[in-house]
Amino acid sequence: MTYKWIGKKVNRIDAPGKVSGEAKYMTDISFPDMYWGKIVRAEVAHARIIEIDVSAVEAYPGVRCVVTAKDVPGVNGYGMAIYDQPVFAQEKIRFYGEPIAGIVAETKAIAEEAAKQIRVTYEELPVVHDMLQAMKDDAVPVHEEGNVLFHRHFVNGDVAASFEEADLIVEEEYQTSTQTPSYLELEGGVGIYENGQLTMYCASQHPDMDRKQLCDILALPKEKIRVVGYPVGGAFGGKVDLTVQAQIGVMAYKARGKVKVINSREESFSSCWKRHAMHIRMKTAVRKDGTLLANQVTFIADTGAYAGLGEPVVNLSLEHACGAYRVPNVILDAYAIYTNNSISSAMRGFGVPQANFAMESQMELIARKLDMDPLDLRLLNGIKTGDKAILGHTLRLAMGTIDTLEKITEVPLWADKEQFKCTDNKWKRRGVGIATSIQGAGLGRGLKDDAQADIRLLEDGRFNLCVGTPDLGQGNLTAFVQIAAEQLGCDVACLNVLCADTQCTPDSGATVASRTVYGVGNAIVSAVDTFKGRAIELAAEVCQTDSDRIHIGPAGLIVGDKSYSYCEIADMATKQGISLDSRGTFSFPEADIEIEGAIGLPHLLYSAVSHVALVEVDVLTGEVDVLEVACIPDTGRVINLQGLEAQVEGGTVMGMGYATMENTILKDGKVITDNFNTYLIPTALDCPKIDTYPVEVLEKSGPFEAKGIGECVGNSITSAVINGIYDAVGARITSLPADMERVLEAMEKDSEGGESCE
Amino acid sequence: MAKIGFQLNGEEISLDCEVDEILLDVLREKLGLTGVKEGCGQGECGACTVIMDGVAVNSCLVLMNQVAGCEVTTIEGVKQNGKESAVQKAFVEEGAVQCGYCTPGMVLSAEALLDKNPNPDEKEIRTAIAGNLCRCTGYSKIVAGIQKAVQIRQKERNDDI
Repeated sequence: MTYKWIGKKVNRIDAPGKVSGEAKYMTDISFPDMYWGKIVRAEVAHARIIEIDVSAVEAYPGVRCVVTAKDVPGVNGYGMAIYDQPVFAQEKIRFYGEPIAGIVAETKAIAEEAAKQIRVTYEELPVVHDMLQAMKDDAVPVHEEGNVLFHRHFVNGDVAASFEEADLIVEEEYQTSTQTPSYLELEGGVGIYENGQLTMYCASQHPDMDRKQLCDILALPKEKIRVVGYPVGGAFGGKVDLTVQAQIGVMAYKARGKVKVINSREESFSSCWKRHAMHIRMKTAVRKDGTLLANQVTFIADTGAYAGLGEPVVNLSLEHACGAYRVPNVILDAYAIYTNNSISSAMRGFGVPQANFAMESQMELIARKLDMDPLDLRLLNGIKTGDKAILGHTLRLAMGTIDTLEKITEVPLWADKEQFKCTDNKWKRRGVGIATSIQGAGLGRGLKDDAQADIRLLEDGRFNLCVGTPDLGQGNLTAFVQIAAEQLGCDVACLNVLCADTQCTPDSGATVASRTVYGVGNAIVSAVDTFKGRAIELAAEVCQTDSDRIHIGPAGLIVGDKSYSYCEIADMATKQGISLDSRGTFSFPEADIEIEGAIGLPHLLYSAVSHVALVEVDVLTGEVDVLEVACIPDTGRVINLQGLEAQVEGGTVMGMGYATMENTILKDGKVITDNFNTYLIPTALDCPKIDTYPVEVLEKSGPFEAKGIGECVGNSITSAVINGIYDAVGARITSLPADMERVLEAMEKDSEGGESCE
Repeated sequence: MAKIGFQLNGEEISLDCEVDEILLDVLREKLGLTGVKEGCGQGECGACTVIMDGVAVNSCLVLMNQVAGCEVTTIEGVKQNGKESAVQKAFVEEGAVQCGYCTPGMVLSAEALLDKNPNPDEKEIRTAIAGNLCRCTGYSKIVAGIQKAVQIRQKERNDDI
């Protein structure tokens, strides 16, 4: 099958507007009669509120109004799973930076000045900052119901017997850091409440879900709320929960006007949704030939002050507890624990990077102890289509793990690794590490995961392609256009995209979980097919001919020996008084078993990625430099190679940052790494050369046999880097990140010195 | 309040503003040039980069009294007669843009580099954009974009001769 657009080089449709500075982000929108809002935030992490005195502020010149919890017209609570997070704190403060009040004023400067006049009287409570302590029965409660938000226990097979039978048992504890998504665009936007209607301009991963929560907060029906959420200046999961929409909404509602709010970076880092820090215990049983027999795993995740997506995140850790491997016997426990450590929820990978770091570390230890090649060990245990996954479901769809692992043998970084490891610098040691990962796509069993897409023929013969899912930067809109153009047989230039505006786009679900190319892509195919059927029916009626004499051409319909442009078809439809607007829908397929009581478990569709990393360690300072990376993604059919490479490179660097430098440090619940001078993310000088080697394990149920990839590309790189450090200096890093102190400490503990190349 | 005159995107302008107002705020809020982005407010991320007298600077660290008499170029002033610059063309072609929030600053850092050094090596390119954070791309395609811009500029120069 040859394609005209699938797999071909198509430039991103949003790039011209972004390079020229013309693209208007939600934080760029302004109106002449607009107020500025300022969120007043808690300056303690845990306290009982005695009084919030706003009297001095209400009289402040230039202040339009002040809002607190009592001004919330509907429910003073929101959250993706449970409404446990107040819009404005009421009775208690649970994290440093939590919104307490909102000031609406004529200018930004007045709002900021007035904010300083708010007097809050607190009764401070002990700060719950250690998740392991917080789990104990006698711990200070963050919420009345106790600090264990969620616990799932899962057993499959006979673990005790496997530990008896095992030739080797590897047991280790791991600790991961709190990663901050660090999207460049700060949270913010404009809320307008006029004539009983709210319009919210604020970057979003799912405008329809934002609207649902705003309806409850403002006690408005959904017809009265419009949410516009695109373009988005980066999100990485951090904009799937509400960011500041709830506070802006209440401010606009009380002000009866337009209110703009933009967080400062310090506010952002204190109050944004982060990746869960986890404490992981893993005990793995292995036969001496390397066959994995059993895994006993406990995940304890710090979800911070509010639930966010804590439960589904740790559920996903549990599902991916054994990485990309067949393990017939498991005992798994996953906990999400409330603390006063800011808030954690979705971030790219969604609980999988943590699990992957632990499992891929175990694999490296096992390979070393059995004196096996680490790649052979992975190939022996790698999961395949038809296998049972650890939760007991059958993997019916394409699984690319073995293909990506086999490809490693052809990658120069691995094939010639001894050469790559040579260095003349006697203070440096080099190592090559590998790791592999899978990641479930879509929301998982038990969560309705539907996508809708509309195709609308315009008068000028062009089409509007309408989707609810915003492009967060990953390029899904460009992939959608390629899919639509291929299915329609037209030129990509004939398609406009409307996106993420509840007034004119259907609910396509959220841009999360590597679900959009597959799910929304399928909905687009279905919409186009419906459109084609309707257009042919129309032409058959108008031309008084059989529909089987009508074909779809590149720019319209061919009826016998006559062709009609889409412009003419649009005209025909108008004259006949019928609409050719077509909606396509798609529902994610579900796994064959359900895990009782579990939301979103298990998955059926998985993407697979392997990474190879060349790492250099400075033996004097412990500094780690990632020099080169090879990434082998399986994403089914590649829709846009440049887009895939872009995801690989970005995900790889984000996972490398997680491995070597990124660490949100909290002191008594306060984020002290609250800007880019202390929370370090990789710069252009830190980044390795990255080569992408796609393997296309075609997935028949996908649009043109494609799957998603956005999340999985960031997982195994972290472990590949850590395993590279092990190869270089023999030091095992069990706590992320592998900063200089940790590397030096680990080298002192278990360094084998490494070999220089002389 | 003072009257401050400077050249903005090739045009002389004169503005009433406080001498300690921040250039970034004036560009975005008073002049509506929202291509200039704010990412950190303290000169760490480069999203607010503008070119001032030939040098790429963080406009969040520039006070208006420093701007008097200077030439300032923002992303809105990069297109010439409605045509994309070599850097802009190359960024589109090489896929150097994802969410796009760092892009204006990145383009301007690249323009400032190539104006001074028409044929930089990879290290020089990476150093020139080391103050511009990007969370989406991993920088590879941005570096490739700037390398491509070098070629486009060279070709344009040759065509002119």
